[in-house]
Amino acid sequence: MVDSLLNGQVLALAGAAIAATLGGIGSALGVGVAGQAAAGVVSEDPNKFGQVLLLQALPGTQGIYGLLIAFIVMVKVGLLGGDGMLDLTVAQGASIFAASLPIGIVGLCSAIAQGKAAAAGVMLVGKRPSELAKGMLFAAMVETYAVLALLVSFLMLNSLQL
Amino acid sequence: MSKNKIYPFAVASVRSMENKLLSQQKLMQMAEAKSAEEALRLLSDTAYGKTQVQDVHQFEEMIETHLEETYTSVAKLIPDEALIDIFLYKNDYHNIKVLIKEEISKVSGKKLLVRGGTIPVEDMKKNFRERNYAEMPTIDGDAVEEAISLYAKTKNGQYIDTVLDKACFAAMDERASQMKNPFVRKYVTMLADLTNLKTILRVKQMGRPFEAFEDACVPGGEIRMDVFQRAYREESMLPVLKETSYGALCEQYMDKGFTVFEKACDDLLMEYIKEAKYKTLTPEPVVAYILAKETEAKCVRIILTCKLHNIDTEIIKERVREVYV
Repeated sequence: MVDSLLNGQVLALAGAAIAATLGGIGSALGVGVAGQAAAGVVSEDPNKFGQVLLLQALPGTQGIYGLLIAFIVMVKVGLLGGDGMLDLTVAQGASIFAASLPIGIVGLCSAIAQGKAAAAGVMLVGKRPSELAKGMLFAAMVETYAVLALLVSFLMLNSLQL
Repeated sequence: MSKNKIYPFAVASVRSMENKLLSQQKLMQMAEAKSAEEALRLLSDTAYGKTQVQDVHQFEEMIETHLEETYTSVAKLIPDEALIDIFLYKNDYHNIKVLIKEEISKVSGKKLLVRGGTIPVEDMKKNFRERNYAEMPTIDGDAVEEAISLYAKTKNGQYIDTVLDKACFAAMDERASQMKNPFVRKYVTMLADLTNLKTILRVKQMGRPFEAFEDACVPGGEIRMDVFQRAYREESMLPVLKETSYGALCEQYMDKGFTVFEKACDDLLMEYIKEAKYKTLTPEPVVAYILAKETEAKCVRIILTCKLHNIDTEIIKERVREVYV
C-alpha cells in the first residue's frame, strides 16, 4: 500500500498541493488580519475605504504565487495537457516536490508577516491619510521574500528534465 | 508567533479616534483664551461639542458625557471587557463615597455623582440604600461598612476617603493581577506607587505623623512600606526614595512644591502610556486611548476651572499635563 503511494506521480502532486495550500493559507490569514484593521478604520471614517482596501489586498499575492507554481507543476507532469499524466520515477517526483517547497513555506510565513505590516499600514492611513504610499511600501517590502521564493521554485521546476 | 490575542479592529479604530484627541496646541489655545466663555467656545468646536451647554459653570456636564461616550465606545471594541473595567472602578468608588457622605450629612450629593462607572448611578443608589452589596460586584461591601463605622466612631470624613481608596486600589490590583497583559499590570502598580509618593510628600509637608501615611497609603505598589518608613524618618526623604524606581522623578520634582510634583507624576504616567504608540495588534493602544482621554479631560477641567477663577494664563499653562498625541 505504502509502496504504491510513494511513487513519482503522487510526490509531484503533493508538491503542487503544498505550493497552493500553504500559500493560500498564509494569504488568507494575512488578508484577514489586514481586513480586520481596515474595518476598524472604516468604522471611524468610511471615506478611507478605497485606501485601506489597497493595503488589505497586499498579502494576497502569496496565494497567487502558490497557485502559479501548482499550475506549472501540473503542466509539467502533463496533467493539464489532455494526454494523461506522465510516468515519473520516484526521484523525479521527489525533485518536483522539493521545488515546490520554497514558495509553499515562504509563502505561508511571509503572508502572515505581511498581513501584520499591512494592518499597521492601515492604522497609519487611519491616523495620517496622506501617508498611504509609505504604508504600502512598508508592507510591500515583505513581498520581496515571497518573490525570491517564487523565483527559486520557478527556476528549479523550469530546469528539471523529465 | 506570540500566543497573545490580537485585536486589529479595535486598535485600528482607536488609531482613527486618536485624531480627534485635543492636541497640546489646542489646550494652550484654551489656556490663552481671554475668558472662560471663550475657552468653552474653543472646546465646543472639538469632539466635546456634541453636548452644548449655555452656562460656563456647566462644563462638567460636557466633559462627563464625553468621557462616558468614550468608555462605551471603547468597551464595544474589546469584547474582553475586563480590560476597560479596571479604569471604571475609580468612578464606582467615587460614587459610593458620595453616597456614604450624602447619607451621613443629609446633603444631596447629586451633582457630585459621576456617570461612567461599571454600575449605573441609579442602581448603585438603590443598592446602597438597601445595603445590597451582592448587586454591586465591584464594590467591597466590608470596606463600605468599615468606612461608615469608622466615621461613626471618629466623626472624621477623611476616613471614608482613605478606607475606600484603599479598597479601590485593592480591587484594581486584584483585577489587574488576573490579566495577562503586563501593560495594564504595570500601569496599576505605577499608579499606586505614585499615589503613595504623593501621600507621603503631603504627610511630611504637613508635619503629620507616619501613622497618617499608613492610614492613607494604597495597596498594589512596588515600593514597600519599610522604604516609606525609612524615608519618613530622615530629614530629607530624597536619599531613600532615590533608590526606588521613581528616583529620577523624586530627585527632579520632589522639592519643587506639591502642584509641580503632582503634574510630574501625571506626566510620568503619560510617558509610560506613550509606549503603546508603537504597538499595532495588541490591546495596549486601546488602554492607552482611555487613559489619554482621561488625562485630556483632566486638562480641560484644570483650564476651565482656572479660567473661571481668573488665574493667570502662565500658571494655567504650567499646570496643563502632557498629552498623548
